[in-house]
Amino acid sequence: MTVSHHAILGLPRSGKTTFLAALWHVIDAGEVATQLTLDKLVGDHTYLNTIVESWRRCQEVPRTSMAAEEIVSIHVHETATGRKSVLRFPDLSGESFEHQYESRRCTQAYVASYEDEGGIMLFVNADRAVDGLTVTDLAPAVAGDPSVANVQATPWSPKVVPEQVRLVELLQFLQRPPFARRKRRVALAISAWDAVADPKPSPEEWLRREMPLLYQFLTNNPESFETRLYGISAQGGDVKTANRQALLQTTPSQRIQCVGPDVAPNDLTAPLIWLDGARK
Amino acid sequence: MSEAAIATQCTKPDCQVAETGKCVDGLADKTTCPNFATADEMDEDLETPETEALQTVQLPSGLALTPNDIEAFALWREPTFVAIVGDSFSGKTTLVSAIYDRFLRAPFAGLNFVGSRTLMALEERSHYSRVDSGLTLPDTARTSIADGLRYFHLSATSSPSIKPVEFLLSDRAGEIYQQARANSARVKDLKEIVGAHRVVILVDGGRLVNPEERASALQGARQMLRVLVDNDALDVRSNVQIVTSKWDLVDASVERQAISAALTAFQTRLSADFGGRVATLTYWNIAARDPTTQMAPAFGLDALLVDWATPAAELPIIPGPPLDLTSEFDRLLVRTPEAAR
Repeated sequence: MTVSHHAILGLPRSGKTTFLAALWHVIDAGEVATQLTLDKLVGDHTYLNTIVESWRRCQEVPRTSMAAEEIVSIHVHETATGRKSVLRFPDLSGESFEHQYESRRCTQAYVASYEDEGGIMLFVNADRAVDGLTVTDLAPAVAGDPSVANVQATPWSPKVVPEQVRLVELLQFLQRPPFARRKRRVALAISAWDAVADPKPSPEEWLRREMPLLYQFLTNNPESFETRLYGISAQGGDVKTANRQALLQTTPSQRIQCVGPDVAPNDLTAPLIWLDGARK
Repeated sequence: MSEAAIATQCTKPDCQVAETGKCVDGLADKTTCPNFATADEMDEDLETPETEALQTVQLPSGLALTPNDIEAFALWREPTFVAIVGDSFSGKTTLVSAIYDRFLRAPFAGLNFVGSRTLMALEERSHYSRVDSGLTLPDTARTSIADGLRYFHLSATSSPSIKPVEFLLSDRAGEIYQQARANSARVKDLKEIVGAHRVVILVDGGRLVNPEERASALQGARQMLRVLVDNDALDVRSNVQIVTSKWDLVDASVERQAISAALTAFQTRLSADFGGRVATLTYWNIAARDPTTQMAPAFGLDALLVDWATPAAELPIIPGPPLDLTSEFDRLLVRTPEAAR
């Protein structure tokens, strides 16, 4: 049996914990065909059982706070081959990554978590506000009008840095010491995929359009990263709207939507299978 | 070790064994108590793997690179140095910010973003062009004299299979260049010039549109080139680009024709006087950030970036001064027939 240590990376509200909750349900419930299945229930699953309760009720899954960070271990086997493995993920809060970016420090434990071979589940949320707009993007007519007086500026802080730049920096950290230098697989999950307007682009087109710097970075660092992109809706829709009632009527696993290479429509495990593929 | 150093302690909060010597659980032999420890043991407990794991390590700062950083950088990758020279407010930092801004949106000039060791610095310098700054007119953070020489880093490639170009773009307060123009003794301090793959000298287009400023703006650039050439910061290996910034202002000016004529005459004189003293002397127009958006974003910067990414032509070898052969060993070489060497 192999133990796969995968990292989960993403800023606050990027869908990391909701993904874990849906994964925990789908591999155990057997409601839909998945490439990974729960092998045995061993260890302490209090945390997973807590977050999955909210998910099953179509409620917003509680966000992970820095104080409540957990390492999640799940014993699974590949449905097709029976190959057994243990998936280990540190469920770090988005604030942890924000803090890392702003303070330029991380824990020894975080460094150590990248020493083992394993991939990265990188999360971005499709239902996000546009950031990084320039003054001329927003109001070129105003910007060019000399009669418009400038106002007092808000000083710069790392908090105003666009999300794609922060993610590039978090990934760049992994390319230099103290992190072990190696090529890593990155499964980039675009969460809240249901929020992407129809006709939906492919996940790759979405990233190229919405986060061009991150897209360029991931596709032009072949020595460091091998990337696949997935569109994932772990809740199946917006649970804060009237849509929730319809979602509650659906078999939980069938609410899940997952698009990407080698993916069945409700199978959240496909990105993990691919991340694990690097080890075979 | 002193007695004080081996003072007894207990991890149970209600036990006063350290002060009274009496165990709260009534144990006579304190060493059999699982909660008992000496002060040294307590310290050791603090160094458990768990606490060690929570210790933090420093990560790269993302700030602009110093000349010392550059030495380490050059051991890692071969840099392509671009020295950006110009007076205060001529648009040096805006030029760099505009290139970065393009990469935030898409590949630029046929190049893809590969990385940057100075992302924090690029973000900070771009702040006043962003909506988040609260400004209604775009601006650029000024480079401080106190910062000295700094470099922005951008790594870019035309294809993932091709080795990226590691651009190091210099950043220095314009006042320093003005001082060097006024006092040639300061040229030797401009470390970014010697050995740069390209040297960009900016002509402030904003001053060209003002008839009172026009001649001074042109003469300032000419004097900059002269002081660099006359003091050996530039030579026949140097690739110099005279770049007129804020071309949007020139283009929109009612005096556009007069400005163009003055520029053409200026360039002709410059080529005649200095063309033979540097490897290449070329002329460019850019509008890094036209607030009216009448000109394409980063107008002219794509061509400039493509040029920077292109290796300079084979550079001629400059013969050095004649060697002063003093020892007999040195003279042996001169006496030896060429065929026998």
